[in-house]
Amino acid sequence: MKMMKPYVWLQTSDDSIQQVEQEIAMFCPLICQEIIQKGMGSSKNCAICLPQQVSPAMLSLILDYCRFHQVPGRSNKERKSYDEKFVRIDTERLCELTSAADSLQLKPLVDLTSRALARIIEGKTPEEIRDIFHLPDDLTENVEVEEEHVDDRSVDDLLSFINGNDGGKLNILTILIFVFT
Amino acid sequence: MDPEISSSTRLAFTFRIVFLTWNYFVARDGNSQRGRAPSEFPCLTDMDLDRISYLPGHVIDQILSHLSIKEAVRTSVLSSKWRYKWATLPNLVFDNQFVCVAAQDHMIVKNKFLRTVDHVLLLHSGPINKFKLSHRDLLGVIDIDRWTLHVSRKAVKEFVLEIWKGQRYKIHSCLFCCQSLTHLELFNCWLKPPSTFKGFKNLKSLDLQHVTLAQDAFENLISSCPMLERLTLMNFDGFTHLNIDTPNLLFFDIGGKFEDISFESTFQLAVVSIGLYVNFEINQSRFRGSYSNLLKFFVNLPNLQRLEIQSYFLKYLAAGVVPINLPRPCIDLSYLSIRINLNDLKEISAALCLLRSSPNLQELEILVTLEFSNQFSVGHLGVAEMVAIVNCDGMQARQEEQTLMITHNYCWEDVFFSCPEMRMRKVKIDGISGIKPELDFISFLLLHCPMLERMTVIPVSNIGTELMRQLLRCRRASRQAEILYLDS
Repeated sequence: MKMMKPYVWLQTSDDSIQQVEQEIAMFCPLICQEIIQKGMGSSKNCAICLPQQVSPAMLSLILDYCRFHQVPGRSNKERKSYDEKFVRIDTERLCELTSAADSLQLKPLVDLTSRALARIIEGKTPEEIRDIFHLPDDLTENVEVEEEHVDDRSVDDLLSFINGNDGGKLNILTILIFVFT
Repeated sequence: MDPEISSSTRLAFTFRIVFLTWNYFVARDGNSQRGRAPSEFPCLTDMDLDRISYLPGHVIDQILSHLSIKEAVRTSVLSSKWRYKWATLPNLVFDNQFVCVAAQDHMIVKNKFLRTVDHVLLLHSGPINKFKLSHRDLLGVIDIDRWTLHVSRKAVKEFVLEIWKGQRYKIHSCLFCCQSLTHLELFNCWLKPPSTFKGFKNLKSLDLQHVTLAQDAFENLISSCPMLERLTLMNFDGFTHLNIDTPNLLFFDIGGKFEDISFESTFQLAVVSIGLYVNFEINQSRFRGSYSNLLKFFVNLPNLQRLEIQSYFLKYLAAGVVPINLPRPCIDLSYLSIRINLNDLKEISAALCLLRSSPNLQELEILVTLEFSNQFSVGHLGVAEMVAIVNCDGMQARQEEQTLMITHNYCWEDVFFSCPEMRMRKVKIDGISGIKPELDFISFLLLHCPMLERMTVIPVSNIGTELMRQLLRCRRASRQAEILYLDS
């Protein structure tokens, strides 16, 4: 039988290797599988190679999360308020964290971060969302083709449906015209 | 304008745009992939900063699933990468949030709703996990048949249909062939399973409210869902005899008018809430002899953990012979809630039988029904219950009976002379008006519950301080017991 060791060796995307408490690392199903099924991580030479998405910075964030939730006896309220603070980071890091957590199959964290990302998107105009996430505004080019076909009567309809009642730019909306008319 | 021509023109137009945009994106995606190859450029481009677009599809689905479908579909105008990300959204929820227009005209709202559901379903690709239709302006229209057929072909797992207006909508027969269903929730629907109906082999949760279903169809439905774990039945018609025969049932919540209820092979059932909305007294004459509803009810419920007895159901349980104890105590019962008329001897003895037979009860809630006209006013009962009361002739009967019962000099100590101590920690008594049977009951509980930690007393409104004074005088078996008096 394998001896359970208190520490485990992990290799992050930048090829650096670090030692972390096994008990905490085991929270990530992917790491858990590597340890139990493949016997990896017991020494520096056979460090567990983490997915590309896991940078050292993300690993340290994820381990913080696991460390907090691994402590037994915390109340739901405590956990909730920790979670809330935990995802108060800039959106780029939030996306990176989501991606890293997903690659480690850490479902509760993916759930938490995707909820946070949804909250950011919620209630914003497409322009605002594009700004926040640095999305390319590459849909307007083909709009001109369609614009001449736009049925005037449906624009109001469309605006109110898509943007609530706050109005919005016609050009980006015409794209959706076939969805909502 | 001829609507048919108009819609066909629109359809042609639609396809043109789809075609145009599709061409455009095929070309564009090709370019962007070629453009991305030399990634060693030191400066950060938008593409490097745009991290959210490159998250795996299932994660994007998860993000979008936290948004309303309206907001999710709106993401298609963000960028070319987001064009169809919403289209794989596994959960399609069309509710009030989904269409909000300034127009107050219900026809406009309705038409928009119908059109939009059509289009979303047409553009959606991939599996549909959940389909929910619930809009306050939604009538049982024929379009729902088409959507039902579509989602049942897509092996939908959760199907929720709530018809808020108009007559009961007849469920399309194709739904009864949908073996992928794990959760089915219907409101204001008429269920008529086809003769070929073989049951829902994977159904775990069934919630039927304001439904019409024939007696034989109901029996067939319940007994042919072997995996059923949760069953909710509220305000139904067409069936009045409930024989619940599902071996995996854990949770059962029912409220409605029915004549009798029995359980078979429900050995796992742990949480039960039953409200009988019709005064059972009318049929009391049937229960002569040694027949006992209490014994019949508990015989197949060995694992009961939580039990709520609402409306007239205690009266039903008290029909026939009321035993002193149940032959097999409810060992696991930790929570019990009872609506009781403390002027009704039979109801009291049925409640006492339950208390005697629940040795591990931790929490007891008593909802007191005394004066009919006051107690059944707003706040104590749901609308459905009130409608049920208004509809039945029970009111007169209850008031008459009250005057009869009140002449009995009922003594709690006599009844519980040889009663083992009760282990309740929490007791809540709601609807107290301060009359003697209530005070007797409270002082009896305080005297016989040595483990009691808290008793919450909620009086009816506009009651003086006399009740409080009386409560202070009560002796308590438990040293820690506190009395919480919640005056409104």
